[in-house]
Amino acid sequence: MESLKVNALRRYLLEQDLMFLAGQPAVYHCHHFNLFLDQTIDDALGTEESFRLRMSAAREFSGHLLSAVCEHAGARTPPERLQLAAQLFKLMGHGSLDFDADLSGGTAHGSHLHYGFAWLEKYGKQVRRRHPADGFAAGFAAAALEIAFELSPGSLRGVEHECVALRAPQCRIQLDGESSPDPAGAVIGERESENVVGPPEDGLFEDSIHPIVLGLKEFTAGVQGDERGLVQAFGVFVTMHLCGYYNRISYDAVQTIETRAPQSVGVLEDLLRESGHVCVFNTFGGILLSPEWEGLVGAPTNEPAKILAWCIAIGRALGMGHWTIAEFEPERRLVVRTSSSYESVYYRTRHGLASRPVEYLFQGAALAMAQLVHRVDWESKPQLTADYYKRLFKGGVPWRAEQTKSIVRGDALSEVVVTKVSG
Amino acid sequence: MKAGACSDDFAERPGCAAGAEHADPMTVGALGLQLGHSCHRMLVWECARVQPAVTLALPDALRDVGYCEHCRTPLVREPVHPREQSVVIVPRTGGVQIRAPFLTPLAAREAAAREVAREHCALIRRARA
Repeated sequence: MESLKVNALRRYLLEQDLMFLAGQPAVYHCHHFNLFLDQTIDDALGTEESFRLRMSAAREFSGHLLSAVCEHAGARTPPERLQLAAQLFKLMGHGSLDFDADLSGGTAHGSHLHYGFAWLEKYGKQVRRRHPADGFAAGFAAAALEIAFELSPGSLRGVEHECVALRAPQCRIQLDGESSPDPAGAVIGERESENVVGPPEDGLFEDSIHPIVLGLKEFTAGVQGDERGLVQAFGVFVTMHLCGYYNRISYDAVQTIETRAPQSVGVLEDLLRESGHVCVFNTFGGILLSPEWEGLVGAPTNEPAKILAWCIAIGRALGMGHWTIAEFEPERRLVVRTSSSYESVYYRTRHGLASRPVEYLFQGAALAMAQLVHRVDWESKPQLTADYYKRLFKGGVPWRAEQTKSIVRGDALSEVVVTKVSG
Repeated sequence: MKAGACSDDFAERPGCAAGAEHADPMTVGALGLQLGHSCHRMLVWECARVQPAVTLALPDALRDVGYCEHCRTPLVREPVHPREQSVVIVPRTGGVQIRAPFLTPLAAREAAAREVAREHCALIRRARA
C-alpha cells in the first residue's frame, strides 16, 4: 500500500479554480468559517438534528472520498483501509482518529479533532459548550468503517459521546448500525462539475492575479496536517474540506426551514452569507497579514485595487472558483463574477435550477471583500480579533450586495454587484 | 498585553532595524516582540525587523541549535525546533516571526515566545559578529 500525499490526490479543474481531492470537490477553509457554519446549522435545526445532519453529510461525502483513495492506494484489507482513512483525515487537517471497531461498529477515539480542538481554542475561555462539536469526524469515522468492511453506504452512524469541547480529555465516537439510512444523492465529481461551470473569463488586474494564484497553489500543495493532524498555516487552523459537506448541511438546513418555519428562511440565509464574511475576514485577512504572504507576494498596503486583486487570487487558490473583477470603482462599486463555484456545482447537480440565487458564500465574500479593501488599515497590521470583526461587519456596513446573475438560476456565470449605500 | 521589562535591549542589538515602526503599546518589553496577527491567541509574535543579510544567516544558525527546516518555499523559511516552536523568516524583507507551540497553555505562551526570542537575539548577535 502506498503512503499518501495530499498533493498527489489534489487536482484543479482547468481554468475554473475548483479543487478536487481524489475526484471529490474540496476547498480550503479555516476553523473560523468551519465553526461558524456548524453553529449556524445548530441554530437553525437545534443541536441534535444538526449533529445528525452534519454526521450524515460527512459520512456521505467522506465515503465517496475514501472509496476513491483506497482504490488509488491499493488498500484492500479492512486494517489497511482504516489506516489509510486515519492517515487521510490527518493530512486534511482534521485531527487524529484511532479505530477500535469491526464490521458491526465500535469506537473511534479522536484527539485534536479540528472542530472540538479549535472550538476550545477560540471559545473555551468564554463559553461553556453543552453538546459535542465533531459531527464531521463522526461521519468520517462511520464512512471509514463502511468502506473498510464494504458495508452499504449509510449503514453505520457515528455519535460523539465525549468531546474535548466539553472538557473531556479526548473525543470518543460510538459507531453502530444506522436505523434510518438516507437515500443516496446524486454523485458530484469532476465530470458533474464540468457540466455546471460556465466559460471562464478574465477580469481586471489579471496580470497580477494570475501569478499569485499559481504561487499560492504551489505553496498550498505542501500544506498538510502535522503528526497530530492539524494544519497551522497563515495564522489559522486550516482544513482541506469536502465541499459536499458544506453544501449539504447548508442547503438541507434551508430546505428544512422552508418547510418548518418559512418566515425564518431569510435569517438563515443571512447567516449563511455571513459565513462568507467570516471566511474573508479571518482566512483572507490572515493570509494577507502572514509572513508567508509577505515572502510570497509582499506586505499589504492601503491600495484598494491591490488588496482586491489579492483577495480574488486567494479565493481562486483556495478552490472557491474562478472569481474575477468585472468592475471596480473605489468607494463606489465592485462587481465580482465567477464562472464556477462549489456552491453552484452542488446545487445544480443535486437540486436543479433555483428560483433565487443561493450562492451564499459567494455573496457574503463579495461584500466582505469590499469592506476589507476599503475599511482595513493594512499598513498598521491590525489584529483580526472578534471585536474588530464586529466593528467592521456589525456596525452598519456601508455596502449592499446583490446577486444579479446566477449559475443556479441558469445564467452562464454568477455575478454579485456591491454598491456603496452610505458612510 | 504589555509584558514586564527584559534585560535584553533589542533596539541596541546589532543587526536590528530602527524600532520606530514597533513603538506601540503591543510591544513586549525591550525584545522587540510584538503580538502578531493570528487567530490563535498569543501564539504568534513578530520580532523587530533585521537586515536581510542577517536573516539569510539565521536558518543555519538555528539549525546549529537544533532546529529543522520546514521550508515550503525559499521565499519563506521556517526552522522548527523539536519542542515545536518555530521561527518564520522572510529573507527578502527581514521579517521574523516566532511561533510558540500551539499546545502551550494560554498563560504560558508569551513566556514561551520570549524564551525563543532571547535565543533568537543571541543568534543574531552571533550572526553579526
